[in-house]
Amino acid sequence: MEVEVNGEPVKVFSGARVRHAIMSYSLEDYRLINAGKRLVVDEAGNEVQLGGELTGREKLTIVEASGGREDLQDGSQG
Amino acid sequence: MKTSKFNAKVAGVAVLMAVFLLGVTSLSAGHADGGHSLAILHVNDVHGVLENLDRVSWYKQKLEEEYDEVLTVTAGDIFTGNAIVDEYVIDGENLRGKPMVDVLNEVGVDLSVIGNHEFDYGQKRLQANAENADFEFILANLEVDEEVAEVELPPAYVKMETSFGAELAFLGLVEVRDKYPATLPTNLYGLTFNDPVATAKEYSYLTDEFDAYIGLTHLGYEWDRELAEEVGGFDVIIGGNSATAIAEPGLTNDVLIVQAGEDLEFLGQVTIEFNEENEIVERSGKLVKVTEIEGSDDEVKEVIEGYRAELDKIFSRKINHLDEPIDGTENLGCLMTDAVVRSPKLEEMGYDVDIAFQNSGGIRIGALGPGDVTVGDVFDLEPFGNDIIVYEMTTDDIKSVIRNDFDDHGPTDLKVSGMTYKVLISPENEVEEVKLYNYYGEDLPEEETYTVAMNEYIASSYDFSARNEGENAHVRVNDAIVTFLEDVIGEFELNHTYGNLDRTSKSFVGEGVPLAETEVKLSSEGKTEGSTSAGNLMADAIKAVTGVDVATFPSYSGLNAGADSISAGSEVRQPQLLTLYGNYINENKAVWGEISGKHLEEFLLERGQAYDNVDLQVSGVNVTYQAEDGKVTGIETDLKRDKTYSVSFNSYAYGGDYAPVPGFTKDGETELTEQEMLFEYLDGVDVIGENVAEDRVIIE
Repeated sequence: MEVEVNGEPVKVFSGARVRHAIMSYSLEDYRLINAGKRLVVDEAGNEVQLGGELTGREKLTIVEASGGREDLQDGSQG
Repeated sequence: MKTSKFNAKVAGVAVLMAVFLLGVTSLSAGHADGGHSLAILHVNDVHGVLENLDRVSWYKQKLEEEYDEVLTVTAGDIFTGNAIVDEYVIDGENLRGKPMVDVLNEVGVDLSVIGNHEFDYGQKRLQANAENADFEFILANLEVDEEVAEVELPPAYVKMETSFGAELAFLGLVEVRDKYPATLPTNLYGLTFNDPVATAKEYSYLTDEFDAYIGLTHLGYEWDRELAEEVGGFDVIIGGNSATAIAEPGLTNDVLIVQAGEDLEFLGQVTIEFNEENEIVERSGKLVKVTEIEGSDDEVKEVIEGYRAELDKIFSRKINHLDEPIDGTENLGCLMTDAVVRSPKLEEMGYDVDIAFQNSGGIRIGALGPGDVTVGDVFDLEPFGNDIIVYEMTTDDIKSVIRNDFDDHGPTDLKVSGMTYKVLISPENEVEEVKLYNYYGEDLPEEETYTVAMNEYIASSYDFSARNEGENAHVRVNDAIVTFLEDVIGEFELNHTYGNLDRTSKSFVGEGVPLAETEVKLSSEGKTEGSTSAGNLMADAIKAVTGVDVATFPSYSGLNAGADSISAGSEVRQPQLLTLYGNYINENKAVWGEISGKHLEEFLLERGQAYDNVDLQVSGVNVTYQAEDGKVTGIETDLKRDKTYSVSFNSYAYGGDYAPVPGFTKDGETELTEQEMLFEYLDGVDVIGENVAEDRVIIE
């Protein structure tokens, strides 16, 4: 399955969620999203949270967040 | 399941509240023109999160004072994602999901569509949860073979009448991909899922029969839009599945589409205004940040607290016993991957898993046991709840996983079951060759393909051939480990298998270039918890070569946390030293320039607060972070705030994560990479001294 992140094609496994596409695109961005510094929006500009299931049609964009999350953590498993 | 029930409501008390919460202006009730207002509160993809449902209930009660009618619905996936709900097995009785249903009952939820994860605990549990629910589960695009299935056919839709006489219909739809929703296919025996859009077309007559026709869907925003475009007729689609937080809902083909993110971060609120003839005159939607709801329903909170108090009991369930601990990432990784290879669930699904991988960073405890092994121990070992992703791979594909692992995480970071492997490392710290063996030490046949399982973190963040060809099995690694310890491996085998395994190894091709001797242990362990000797050494090298006052080096990307340390008193050779650092240092250089002490201190604080850890290794400055509840709140350094310093930053981070660095004037970039600077520095050093063991960055 392939989706778009920041205009670039990103290949992910079948049954992937938003977080998988973001991790595939950039672990650094994934860490910043978990830390509430950035967030993911869809084509319509709606925020899409990391657990969202992907259909293969998504065009996602990573944008700066206005504030940090309360449950700050980097989400890394590396 | 229960037959569709009629939810008669007591007429809401018309109370005008100007502003009552979060600065949100409420809609007026008690219409002068005889019209009425309906509020529908909605959540989706709650995934077992109980916390804050007491706030939702409080909010609902407040709205009931204001609106003529208030309904509360969920758009699916109320289960899976929180141990208290997912692992609710009490005294041997499987009651998975019950805590969530009990809390939703207390909140007074009216209706839920069946999401894909509602099937995760199996059909018997879905049926039991539906029978326990005071609210209805609906789903239109499902057919049930009563001879085979163990769940009864839910209503396709329900009709409700408001206190002011408006008739509403809610139609339930769930996603279908390759015949099934995203859950364990083995849980779907006797069930047929039909295309949701085609199903909706069959029910489109409902739009003419009711005052308001509402889709309660678990499809995802893209699919909801398709539904609105192709079917139409809905006044509102309340959706889930894509975790889209639609702050300002718009109309698609005259259908208002709403969705409220996931994990109860937001509560959605749809408002429908009816005129005296119960015709819709206005629709709108908004999101409320749940943590900002000021009140709490004590009765709901009491139910939640009751379940939270049971968490210890759930986690203390004994699933095996160890006389001696299983310790070290190699042994624990072997246990974790064996659990995947021998998973009965994966086998039932038709996956004959040959090989499994587990990354060292995902092994979160140093030892398991001794003593009784419990469910809680497994959740400590693997707290992420990672799904297992399954691939068909050639030996070249498998080698590419290991090569990428080496590049980004150092040698033998990946633990394995079903084979062993050896990485041969060149003097330039590159993978010369990867050798794959079976447990008898024979080469893995290259002509065969292998079913390879790995967690979702590896599947997403490692770059390897065939990465996009995997399938999510929807089985969690920690669930596989619990099953393995409880049902698959006996106490004897467990106690006699994981003592001193060595399925992964590395060797260096040639002896490598001797660089220096070291008086101290060189290690990258704890790279984001404080200074490390490897980090200090690199920062010292950059400082010496560039001549700056203060040199910095990224902890997270620059250091390999899982690498073997180099003992004090030993000779340091090139390949061994380089395994402490990511291959990041092969490509990255240093940017240097000038900055005031004030701005540099602010930059260091910002880096500490970026992840609330030690993000930089340094030379030329001492840094103490103050922290409260795990969050970095302040900084002290030995910098003089009004002095100008020359400073260096990693070139990649400078252009990305750090940008912009306020107050910094860039003067240049090194021609040498960080690795080359390290070698140049060590060329003039005979002995690596005690100074690299200094605690230069600490968190208090």
